Amino acid sequence: MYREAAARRQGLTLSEVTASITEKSHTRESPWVRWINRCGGSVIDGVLMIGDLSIFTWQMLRWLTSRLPCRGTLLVTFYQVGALSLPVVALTGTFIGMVLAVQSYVQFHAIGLDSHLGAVINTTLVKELGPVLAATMLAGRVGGAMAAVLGTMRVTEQIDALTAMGADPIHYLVVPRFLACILLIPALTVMADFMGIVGGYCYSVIILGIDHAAYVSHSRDGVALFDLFSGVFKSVFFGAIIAVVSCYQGFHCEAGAEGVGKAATTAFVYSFVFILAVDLFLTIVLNSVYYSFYPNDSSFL
Amino acid sequence: MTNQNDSHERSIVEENPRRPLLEARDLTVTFQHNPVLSRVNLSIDRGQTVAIIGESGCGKTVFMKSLVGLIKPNDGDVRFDGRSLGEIQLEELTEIRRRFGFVFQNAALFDSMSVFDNVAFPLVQQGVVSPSEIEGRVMQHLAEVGLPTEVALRQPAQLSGGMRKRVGLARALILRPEVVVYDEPTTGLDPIMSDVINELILDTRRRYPVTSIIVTHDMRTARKVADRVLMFYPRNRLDPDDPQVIYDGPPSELEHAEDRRVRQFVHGEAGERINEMVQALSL
Repeated sequence: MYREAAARRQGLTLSEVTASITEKSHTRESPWVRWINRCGGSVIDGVLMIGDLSIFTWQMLRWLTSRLPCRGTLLVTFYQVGALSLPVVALTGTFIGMVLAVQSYVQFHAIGLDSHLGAVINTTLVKELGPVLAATMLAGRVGGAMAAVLGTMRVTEQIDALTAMGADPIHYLVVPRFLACILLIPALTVMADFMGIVGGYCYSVIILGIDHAAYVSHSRDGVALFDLFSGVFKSVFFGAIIAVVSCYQGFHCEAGAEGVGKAATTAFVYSFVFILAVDLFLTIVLNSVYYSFYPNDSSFL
Repeated sequence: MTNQNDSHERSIVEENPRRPLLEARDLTVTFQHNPVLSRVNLSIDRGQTVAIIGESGCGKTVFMKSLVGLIKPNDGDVRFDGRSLGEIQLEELTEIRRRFGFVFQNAALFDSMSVFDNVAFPLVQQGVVSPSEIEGRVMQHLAEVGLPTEVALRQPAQLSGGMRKRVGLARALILRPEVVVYDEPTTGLDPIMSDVINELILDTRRRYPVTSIIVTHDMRTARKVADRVLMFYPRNRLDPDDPQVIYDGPPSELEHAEDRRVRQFVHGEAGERINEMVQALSL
């Protein structure tokens, strides 16, 4: 407003004044210096964020080992994270199982291995797609909501109010969400696995007409207990990533509606990227462990 | 030697009941290389009602949050009852915060809780009263700020701005704090509701022996409620050696302050600020 008034007094439009300022500041530095400044700034911001995230996680873990939140707070969070996510995880799991059957059928049918389809679908689901799908749905549905809720609380000074009243916001807001994510994501993963297996079976046997007994027999042979364990084991890490990244983004939300929106989006994007990176790392580790115990168990077809 | 000196100093401090309740010593706060507060020295005595005025961005709220330890100063120190907030453990800081009541600008009520749960929150959190007493205390404090009992069941989103402020005030007072801090208590309210809030602040002071710190733009509030006014000036408009607090005195003297900037603010005059902005734009 003042800028407009000032510009009007000089007989200039606001855009003319802004353009002249921008032009003057740009002429002071060469493009290379500006580019290097920007890159340096991004690197420093990244390092600071990693350090800050580590401190945030450490504070949360300290509360986790010293004093848990009250049962009422935990139950509400568990309900929101677990029970309300169940239908969407089950539904997406079913569709993924069916899609895998559709995609694989033509190739397997061409070489006469239709009945082995179940082994491929189930192994893919249990080892990889189930945990990643459950984590993706949780990151989208719960992670984004966590960042938005905590971001709004930050912007509207509710987090400051908690601190001012002698409650630690990390203990009160982050610990319940972290516990809900790491304890309930294994159950959601098992649900995604189960519904995917059911979906794949229904499509293969009912629609594609593959023999029921052969499909079930090959499915049973194809999936080992270790596969189920590795999927569930990985999901715990995915849950931890979703909770920590989303809560951190919410706590460090910028002001205004745009800041809250940005926090929610960033929470999902960062969570998803971290989940896939950690998935790769854990898969390599778990495969090494598995093949060190069963070196000859490399093929099931 | 240092320990001996420290303990000697502490004993003097503890024995002196007339020491200031709150003290800021060379308080400096910088956000991303922009100084907001620079070497602010102030003390607030028990029972005072202090209004902090100043234009937007002058550091009033930052100063107020620094007093409670919500913002850590880059340099300097805040002392509450003789104890430095920068030197104490988190547990002790939490104990000190319990002696404060904080009324936030937009009340900062928890959206996920009802009005009752919001007001009861400090009692539940601190566990200072038995569960059977909580309801009575909450209803008593809601009544003290002029809210009917049925409001207790509503969600914060269902309240008007004035009601939200009053619920915020009830929540701040429920632990019977020694210091009540108000962040722009009348901003965004109509004149009648603003006066209701002013009366509630005065009523609180009459009812409880509290020290009150009120950050406000509203000169009517400052004149009516405060017995001491501090005016902050934006750091970026001052020379490095200039003090940031440009007025410290009773509200009755504001009109006749020697400093032209104080009189301009009190009368709401832009003065030379428009020309300064034109110059800043053309630099």
